[in-house]
Amino acid sequence: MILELDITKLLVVFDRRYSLSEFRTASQVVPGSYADELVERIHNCLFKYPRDILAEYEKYYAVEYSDFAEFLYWKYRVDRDIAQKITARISDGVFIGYCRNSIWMLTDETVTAVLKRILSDLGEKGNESSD
Amino acid sequence: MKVRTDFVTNSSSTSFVIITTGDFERADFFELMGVPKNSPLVPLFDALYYHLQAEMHPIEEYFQLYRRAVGKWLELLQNEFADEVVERIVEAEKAGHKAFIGKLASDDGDQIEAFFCTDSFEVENEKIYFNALDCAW
Repeated sequence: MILELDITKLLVVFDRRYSLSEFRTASQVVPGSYADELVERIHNCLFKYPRDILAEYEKYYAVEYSDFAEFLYWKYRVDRDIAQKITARISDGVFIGYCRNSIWMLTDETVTAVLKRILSDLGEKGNESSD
Repeated sequence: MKVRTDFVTNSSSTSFVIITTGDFERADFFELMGVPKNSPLVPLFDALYYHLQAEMHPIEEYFQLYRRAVGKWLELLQNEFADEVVERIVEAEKAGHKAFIGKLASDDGDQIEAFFCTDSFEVENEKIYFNALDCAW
């Protein structure tokens, strides 16, 4: 799930943090090409640079909020229903990250379908996207 | 002094140059960008290809369209592009290759076009030269 919090910030929720090498392999682009470079930038945006906000919550905010869903709602302005759905996936060990939207087009319908296929090839189960 | 207090947007359009030895074919473009037929990225580069195809114009047509200028296109090119790019275009015309200029916009509501409008790069192979170095804010 890629959630656009505002024009510059994203919340990402994936089964796990995928490595660049597996993301690159699933993308099936020519090594060293422009597409290869773009794949690396997309990977970095989604998996390398995001701050792990579940870890942030557990370390600093668990005493302040009644649960993780409340934390998402109040600190990151995530819709309550979506916050509940994300919270329900914590037990599956999901990766929940907060990052700058450096690629701009990640919530585009075509790009969402591209990412869905790449992640599906990597075994992602909960890769539904939302704007 | 004027102070704007409401929402401010920053829109842009940027130029690109494409030189081809023949027609601007999809298969050649995909080879240039490094996207094989079976790659999941095909739909993304298809979108880019069709944006480029729709927006690219032969040099003189481009200047008529965007600058309302006729003739003296070499001078117009020199005003708009780096010397190396102008030289490439001139050489391409001499060699009978096709040279095109086009624009991508960041404010047409299309995220893919907006991304490539602001991404700066230059790629080439034996069939296509694609210069998007002007694509930056």
